[in-house]
Amino acid sequence: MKATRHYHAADLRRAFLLILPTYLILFVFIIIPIFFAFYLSFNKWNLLGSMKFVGLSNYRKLVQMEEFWKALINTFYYSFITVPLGICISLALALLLNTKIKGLAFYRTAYFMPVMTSVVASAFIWQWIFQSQNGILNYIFGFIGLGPLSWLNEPKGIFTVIFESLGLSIPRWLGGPSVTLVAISIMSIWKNTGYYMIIFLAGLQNIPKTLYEAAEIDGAGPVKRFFSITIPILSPTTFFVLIMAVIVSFQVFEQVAVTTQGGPLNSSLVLVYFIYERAFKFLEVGYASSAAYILFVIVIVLTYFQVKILGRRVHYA
Amino acid sequence: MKHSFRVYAKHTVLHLILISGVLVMIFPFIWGISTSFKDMREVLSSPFSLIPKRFTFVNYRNVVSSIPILRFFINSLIVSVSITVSQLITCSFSAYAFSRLKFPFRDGLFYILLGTMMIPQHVIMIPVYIILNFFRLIDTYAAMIIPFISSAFGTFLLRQFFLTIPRELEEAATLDGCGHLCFLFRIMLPLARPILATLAIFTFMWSWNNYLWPLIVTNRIEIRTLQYGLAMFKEEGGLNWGQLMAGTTIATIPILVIFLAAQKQFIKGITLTGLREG
Repeated sequence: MKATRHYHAADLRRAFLLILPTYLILFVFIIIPIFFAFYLSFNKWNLLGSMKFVGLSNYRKLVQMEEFWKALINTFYYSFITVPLGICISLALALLLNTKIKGLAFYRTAYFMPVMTSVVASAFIWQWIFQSQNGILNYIFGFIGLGPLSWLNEPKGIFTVIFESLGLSIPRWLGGPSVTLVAISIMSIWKNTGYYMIIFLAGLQNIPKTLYEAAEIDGAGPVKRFFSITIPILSPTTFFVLIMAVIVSFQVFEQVAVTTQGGPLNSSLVLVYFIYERAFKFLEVGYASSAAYILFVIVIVLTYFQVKILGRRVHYA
Repeated sequence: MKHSFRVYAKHTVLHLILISGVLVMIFPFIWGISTSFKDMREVLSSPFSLIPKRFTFVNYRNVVSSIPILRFFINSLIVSVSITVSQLITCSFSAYAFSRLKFPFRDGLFYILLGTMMIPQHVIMIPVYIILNFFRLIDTYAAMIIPFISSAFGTFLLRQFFLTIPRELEEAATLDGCGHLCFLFRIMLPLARPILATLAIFTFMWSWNNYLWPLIVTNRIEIRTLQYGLAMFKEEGGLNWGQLMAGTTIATIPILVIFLAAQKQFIKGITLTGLREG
């Protein structure tokens, strides 16, 4: 490689022109902004007047603000609900589809359809399903003797509601995520499952069949084969899906923006919606940028730890 | 016999589980579409019947006459097609440079490109808004298009494919007097057709479904895209459920048609890359 240090002038000019459009876009709309956001987070600005340097004051204000903590906790709740459930369901579906079953293409298409649909469209349909009156979910709940819930307008914690229906009461801090946040999570799981399923299916299809045959000859039952072949060999795929699902869950925005706008009583307020509201509704640009940077740090740290800790235990085929 | 019966029973159970899963996935669509063909009275009186008693197009007619949905549709088309076409061009160019040319800092520049894929759009939305505002582009089509006319992801995807095309082809082409641009357009791109289709489909889907960006950078009703336009009308309470479902159906059909027509590219695109942008 070192020997090829001399470049042709014509090649240089050509390369420069070919990469210019892409780098111009990346530079102006991603690289400058990521530094600019950092700078903004130390300033006070309403987009119109002059910018004022305020040091760490935005961050200080942020950690003292109840609404920010609410958004952060809700985002963690959302991640805790959607990531494990989403992964389990999509893995289960992929395992079922990986059995030489007929109609694979049909099932794959059906499960993938929600992925294709825009968040706006799926949110509309789900709002129709979640309606407190005339909503089909409450209709089905009625059959099994459960009271109607106002799914997208219920700030009470899901555990509080469950225990109340049993005639018990629990302290508020044990209430868990609000019913509204749970409803939004259900919607997201519905939408993303097919996507992760396809990735798992590709991973499963890469496992050599001979491994299973050899294990069967050695007398390993299906359970043993699953835990000592499928799970370890699939681990890079699982790892990949996990990282992606966590990162995606921390950026949840559209579902909330279209259905509840963070309400009722901030019970479905998530981090990105908080940032959006602060920046574009209240024009607190510096303040919003400090929240955006906290999101950035969370995403980077999560990715780093997952690579570091899980990466060691992952089997690379 | 006994063995085959067991396999048969096992597959029946599998199908039953999978089909109930399909119902959960598909049912919301069917119910939404069915609602769009019911008149207002029926929507309220028997919301759960799947087949409308009186099949009607009134919701579609109303949604077209009461909101500029055709305008929104055209706007979505303008934005999505512009983004898709320009990404195909710019990403082919940069991918070609990274896979076939030698230039200083090539690897470093490529790592920077990969690094930008890690940055969430939500973290930089405020500065990007400010930059667009600085160029006086807020509330124009350009604001929705320009930030996305090239992408790190597209460059990466195409480069990986270009690297698999044997060098000998290039040498043979050079001997025949075919220069770099000729080689790119006559040989590389035709060979890369499947991967270009994958990139095109995903870019189109992403921009067609995008809601956040039009929401932030546009205000005028004339340039709203479908997703944003529909969401605004719902928020303002301008539509009832039947009309909303009709609008949703109109907004979803193009994507579903493309998906059903080009499924293979979709599945391949995801399994190849685990697509992050989607």
